[in-house]
Amino acid sequence: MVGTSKTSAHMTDPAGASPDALAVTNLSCVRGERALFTGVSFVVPGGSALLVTGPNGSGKSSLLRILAGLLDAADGSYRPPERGAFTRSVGYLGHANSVKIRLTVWENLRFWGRLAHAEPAVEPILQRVGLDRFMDMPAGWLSAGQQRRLALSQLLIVDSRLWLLDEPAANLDSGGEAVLQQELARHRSTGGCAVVTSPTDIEMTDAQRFELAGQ
Amino acid sequence: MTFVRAVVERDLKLYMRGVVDLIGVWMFFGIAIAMLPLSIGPDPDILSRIAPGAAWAIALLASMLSLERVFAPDQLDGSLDLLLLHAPSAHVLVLAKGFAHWLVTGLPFVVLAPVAAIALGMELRGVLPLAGALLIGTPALSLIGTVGAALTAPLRRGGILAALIVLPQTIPVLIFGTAAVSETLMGRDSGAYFSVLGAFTLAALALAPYAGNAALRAVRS
Repeated sequence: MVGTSKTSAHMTDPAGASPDALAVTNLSCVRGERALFTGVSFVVPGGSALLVTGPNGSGKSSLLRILAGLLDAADGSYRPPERGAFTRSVGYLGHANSVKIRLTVWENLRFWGRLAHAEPAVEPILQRVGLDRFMDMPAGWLSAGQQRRLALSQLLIVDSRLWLLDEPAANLDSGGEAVLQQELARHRSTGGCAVVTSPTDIEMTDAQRFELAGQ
Repeated sequence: MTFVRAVVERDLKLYMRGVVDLIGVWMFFGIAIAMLPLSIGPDPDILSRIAPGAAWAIALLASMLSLERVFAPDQLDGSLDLLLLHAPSAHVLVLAKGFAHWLVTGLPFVVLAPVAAIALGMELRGVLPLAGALLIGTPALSLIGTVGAALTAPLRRGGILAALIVLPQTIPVLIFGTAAVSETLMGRDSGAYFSVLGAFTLAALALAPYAGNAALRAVRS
């Protein structure tokens, strides 16, 4: 069965999108025999966010993986925003936390900091996400919510223009959600943009909404 | 270069924090070498004749034991996605992973070569050629093994399948590695065998990143 998509927000024409925007045109995703979605088009300008909702299996995660370059689209095209003053173009926070439980919290973040040439930012970012007290603790000792915070810190240290967040609030407590909202607002205020997925509509200030209807 | 160094250092740290698995690999090498004289008998003539081939075959099998730890843990915890996003290219990631695997499997076999040679009753003049051949040839084993590890990354307990895929590809390395040591022991010129062994490693160095990249793409789509 072919999946469909619908949008509840006004979408700009992808062809005329500015260079600091994410422009998606007629994107389709097929897994095996099944089309998860077809003809998805939207623009996420710099400084804004798009919330993608939809039931389980509607292709939200696949959409993000395509935009991250981790999965090939069956059809259509997309153009990530230009990097501008940011270190990288795309940052990705997936379902899994990318946390090594045998390394300490500090070692986990330092590794990504090295790759992003941002080692000095390790401690300040751990403070921002509220993990500075656990710096020397093996990441395996953290709770699921704290590991999610560590995953968020791995996104923050990369300093990328486009954030792709796959159900970022999973396992976060209210404090963690507040940190996430704070960081999203900070990111948007610097001209960054974000695509966030969630199975249900969540509180996101000034965000466009897009619904993948699924089968 | 920063990427390769960071990935290799992190992988080494992770291998060492799970050192029990590694000790299992090194012990397999040592115990298999020690058991050979027990099963074949203590006749020094027979032992020294089969010693080069036995050492190579055991090193080959032992290096397959840890393939499961090359990509599967990163696939499981999601960090493979981020590594691919950060890597200058997937080819570089495959090289870095292969190098880290060689440092914890191939290199220890080179260090253990004198012990293996003595345990197998090899003449002392065969120790250096055995260590040299392992030094030249084992990087090819790790690089080819990395491709198999990439192909089986999403599979639970994919290490055995990886070994089954990889072992047939490593037969030339086994043949020329054994011949290089045997020819030296027989007093013949073994330079050509060492050269071919080196050529295999260089070919693996050139081709494994492309094969590994294709494998990662195939399993992730």
